[in-house]
Amino acid sequence: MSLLAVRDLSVAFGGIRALDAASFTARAGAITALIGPNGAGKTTLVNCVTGMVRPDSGNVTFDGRDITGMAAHRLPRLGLARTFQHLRVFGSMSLLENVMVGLHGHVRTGMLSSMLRLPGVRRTERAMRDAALQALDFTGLSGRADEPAGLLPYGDQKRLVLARALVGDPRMILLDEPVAGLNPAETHEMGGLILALRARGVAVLLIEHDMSLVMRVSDAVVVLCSGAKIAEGAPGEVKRNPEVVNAYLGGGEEFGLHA
Amino acid sequence: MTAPGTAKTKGVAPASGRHPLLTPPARRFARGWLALAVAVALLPLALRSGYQFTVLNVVAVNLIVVTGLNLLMGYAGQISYGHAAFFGMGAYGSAILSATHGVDPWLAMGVSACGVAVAAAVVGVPTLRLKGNYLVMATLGFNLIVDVILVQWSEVTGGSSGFVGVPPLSVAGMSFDTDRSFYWLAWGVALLLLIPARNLVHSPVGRALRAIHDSEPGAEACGVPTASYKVQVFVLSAVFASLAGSLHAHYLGIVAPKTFDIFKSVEFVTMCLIGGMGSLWGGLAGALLLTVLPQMLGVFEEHHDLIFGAILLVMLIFMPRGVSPWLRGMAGRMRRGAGVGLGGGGAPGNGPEGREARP
Repeated sequence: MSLLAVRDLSVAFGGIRALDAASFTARAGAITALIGPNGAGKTTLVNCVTGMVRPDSGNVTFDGRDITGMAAHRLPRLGLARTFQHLRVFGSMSLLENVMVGLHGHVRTGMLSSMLRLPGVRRTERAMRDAALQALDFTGLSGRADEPAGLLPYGDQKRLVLARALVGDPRMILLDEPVAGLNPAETHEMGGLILALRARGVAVLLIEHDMSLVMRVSDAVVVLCSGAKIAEGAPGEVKRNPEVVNAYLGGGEEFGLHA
Repeated sequence: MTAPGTAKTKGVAPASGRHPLLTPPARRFARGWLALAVAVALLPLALRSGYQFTVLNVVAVNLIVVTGLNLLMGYAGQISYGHAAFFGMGAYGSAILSATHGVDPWLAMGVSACGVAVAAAVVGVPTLRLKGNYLVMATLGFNLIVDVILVQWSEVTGGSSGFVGVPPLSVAGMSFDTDRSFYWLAWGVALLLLIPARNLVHSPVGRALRAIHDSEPGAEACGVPTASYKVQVFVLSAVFASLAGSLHAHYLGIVAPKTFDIFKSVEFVTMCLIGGMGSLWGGLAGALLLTVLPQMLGVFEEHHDLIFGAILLVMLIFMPRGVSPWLRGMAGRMRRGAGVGLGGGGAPGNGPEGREARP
């Protein structure tokens, strides 16, 4: 069953067509990778799905609900969380606080009730704390819950933003280049975390350049080129698709790392 | 990180034990608040002249503005150089309603605050989309407009010479019209307003505001309605300024537009900055320092502005995060020097840089 469905999405910035009637679906509980050369439109597609860019035409449905152009802050509550390529860690806050903010979509207390510190606020706070510690534990960071996030090494920050995205128990997490800038050991570890997410029943939409990771963890791969989908299927098939090889290498050479 | 799935629950019980409900910073705040209340109660015993009371009354009024402004600037990271306008709207609202229209001063204060809340929302919705220098310019512009209106609309506001005859606030026949009686009112209100501010800071909403400060897209992706929160905290801080303005008007009995120009806004921002952004105690330090210091420098006569500027400069160089975080860092260093305090892997958050410089 498809959890996320993108239909005929088109976006133009001035005269440049960033997306040209792109369509694909991602199944619930599966890892779907979205790949493509630089400039293929991956970022624009992600921005359309996450409410940062409003498409000129086409639509995005999540769990049967039209979320096209929906404000980004409403998505976590619907079960769609995301991470950023440029992390967006809350550097002045502790790891625990970072992850607690990840639950904000589920918080119902407003500014006034917070100022009066009504009993519900305390309860919410405690529940948030417990959930956040569990999420930190999942990513192996619970021992450092009180450290300031800004001082964390880059690789650990990558795991922190993952914890922040998964803490609200989403149905799908969109991971924007989760291993960019990581060393091979960290990359391997992150791959394990992504698989563990799937084991928990969380679907993953993976935007990634690291082909060995994509080939290792994905259930399905969608290839984007010049704003349109050129291939979709199991990792093994996509790897041998001549059009994909052509798009990546300009023809000729063998595509794909040995994964 | 071998089996994340199975490791999921095991760390929870001991970990939540480490995080009791009244967190250390919250307990610190409670102690600090009580200490301040005691100091406020005992200080009059040591004061000699009415002039000393006057200065402390101005500190209390400034503290109220800075507490609100700190929520906006220190926590949510949105800079406003327009808060003297809200301060002035509260003052003039109170003055005009009570003196011209005979409304009860308390009611005038409340009505003015509501009016300011509406005005702040109207100003905030378009301007808070701007960031950094553009937000600074927009709020400065707003303050200039209000300033011009206060001067030009003279049949209502009294023009540049000001508005006289504002009645004092009173409770059960006792009116707060002397320096000494107003001291209790002003500091009572300032202490009282610190409590909701602190509650907000230590709530999920307060955390979301800090997240907005650190990364707006990050906060938005976490489910924080950033645009709405920014406007809400802007309105809240404007209401704090309005209440302070009303107190100011009813205390002095006279309001003049010069008190509410952009230089006053700059002063409020400087108080936040010098005291320590994102720290409610920093607000107290800033309000105290920037109100009392210029008075003390009066002995230098025409050189006092020069010396005042030099002091600010030196402070910003040596305490770039403000007085309050600096003091906390010093305390941390002294504890460690005495060999108590933090062990080997001690939380860097309590380090000299005062990263967790929040009450």
